Amino acid sequence: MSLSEVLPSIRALNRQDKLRLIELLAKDVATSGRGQDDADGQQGKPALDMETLVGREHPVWTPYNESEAAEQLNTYLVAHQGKNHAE
Amino acid sequence: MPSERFSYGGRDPLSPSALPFLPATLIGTDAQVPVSALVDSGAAINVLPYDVGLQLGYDWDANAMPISLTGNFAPSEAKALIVKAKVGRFPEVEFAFAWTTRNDIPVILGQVNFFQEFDVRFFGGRREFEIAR
Repeated sequence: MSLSEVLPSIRALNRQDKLRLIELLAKDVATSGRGQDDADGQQGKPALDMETLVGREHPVWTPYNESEAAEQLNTYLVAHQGKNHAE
Repeated sequence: MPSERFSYGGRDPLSPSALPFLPATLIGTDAQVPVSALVDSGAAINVLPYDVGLQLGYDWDANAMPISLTGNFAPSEAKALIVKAKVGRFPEVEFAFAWTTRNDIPVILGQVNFFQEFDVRFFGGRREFEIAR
């Protein structure tokens, strides 16, 4: 079914139903737009699902700003490897 | 250079927020422990959760090399630990970990020394990553 076929029916909807349709279509595009992405040459890219992103916790564990710890670990590792080579 | 490719994993591999988790086996004094380790290019160091260190057979009190953590791990105590690991088909490798008192984290593989041992390429659009050594 083409857009031109459904457009008259959509235009006949009342204002509230049009708004609901916009919302439904936006969700549909966000969650199942993968086929269209493939057609656009973005094969394999997951659809961006804002509900998934917004409605859940996303912990960040990254130990950033740890240059001193990195130095310490590196020194420890080099000493360990030097000891192993010496044995 | 031999390479191996992995799919993003974690609790929800198909989620847009899925992360590059690498299956590996850590080899301790008492046991070998399979882990799913987060490959984290933003991490300065490798991090080992407390319980995984215990499962491997290490004794917290016997380990004397403290590591100072200043970033978002700042309140946690940590000690340096060298652990052998088997990753994919690659030869065994030694990882230097900051072994922490925390358990609410995954095994994290960071710049010292995972990224020193392996070249890593991320294919975020395909939810895949590749490591080479």
